[in-house]
Amino acid sequence: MIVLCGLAFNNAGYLAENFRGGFQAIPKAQYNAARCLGMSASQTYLRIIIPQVFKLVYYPMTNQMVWAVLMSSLGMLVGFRELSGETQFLASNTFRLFEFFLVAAVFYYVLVKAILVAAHLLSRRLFTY
Amino acid sequence: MSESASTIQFFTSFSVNDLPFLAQAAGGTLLISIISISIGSVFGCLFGWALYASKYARYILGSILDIFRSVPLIIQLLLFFNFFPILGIPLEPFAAGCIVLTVYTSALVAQVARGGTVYTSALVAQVARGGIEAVPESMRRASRSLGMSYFQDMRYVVWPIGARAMLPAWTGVALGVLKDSALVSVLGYLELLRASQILITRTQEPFIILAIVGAFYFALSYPIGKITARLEQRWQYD
Repeated sequence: MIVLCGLAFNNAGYLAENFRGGFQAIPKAQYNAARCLGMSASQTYLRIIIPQVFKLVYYPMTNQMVWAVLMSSLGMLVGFRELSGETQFLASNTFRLFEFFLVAAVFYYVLVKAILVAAHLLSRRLFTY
Repeated sequence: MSESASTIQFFTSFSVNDLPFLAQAAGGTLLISIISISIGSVFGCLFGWALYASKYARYILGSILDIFRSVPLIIQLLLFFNFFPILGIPLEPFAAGCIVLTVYTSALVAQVARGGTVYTSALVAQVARGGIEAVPESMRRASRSLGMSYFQDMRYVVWPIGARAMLPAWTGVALGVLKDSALVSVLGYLELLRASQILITRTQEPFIILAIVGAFYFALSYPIGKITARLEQRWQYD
């Protein structure tokens, strides 16, 4: 729970920065043009602005997701049993720290690569235009 | 009075005398991050250049650096620290922390120096591509046409422009490494986080001590951000 809160708030800070950048990158004229064509403010945001912003922030968001996965290993420090915490627990039975953490490192690598490949495939489906 | 004298005091509260101890630990943090950031940046620039210049380097070095970026730093530290005793060479926490942080920094800076795939934020990714790719191809061709050698071109044309372009992303990396150096405390090196844990065990007052340690980290990272912002201003193209 503590890990979840910490990670969520930390990520929120970085993601907010990403989204701010994304919204700034959309020209103000697009908003004005959409309003001129008779769209309401919420319609403009939903149909014009958000899709473009999403495309811009997609890759930074993927990076942030990978970063969150890596940072979740810090749960070990507060005694949370995730991949690295569990590894430490198991390793303390046998004192073979190197072997256990090597396996954990391989797991993390595979996990991160899987996320990146999935994000890449998804981006090809999403951003076809 | 007599009652308090007879009972043993297990915990003593936080006092001003502990501040020098924390300051010393902040020195430890600063030392390890300065060493790893400076050496790591030099190697990172070289690696970034190698990644850009050679196809073989891109495959071999690129995949090696990729491993360092996709495995959590804390796991890297523990792996490296526990690897050398197996060989029969005990390693000091400081040395292990320095080496791992240096490699980690160089992996990050290499990505920044090569340019292209750095997404620090959506806006930055749009406006500026860091490093070598920030230099237009036509500019480099012009410098080669003027009779500069490849290395002269790198030194006098690509480096001044590329360094300016990668400065914001580099600042992000440097600040990240400064904060990530807290993880070396897991190995037992006395830096800010470790010192705070020692003090918390003695005083049982985690909140005030962690607040002070946070202030120390802020005091370390704020000047870096300010200085690089000044540099950025001064290096603007006229």
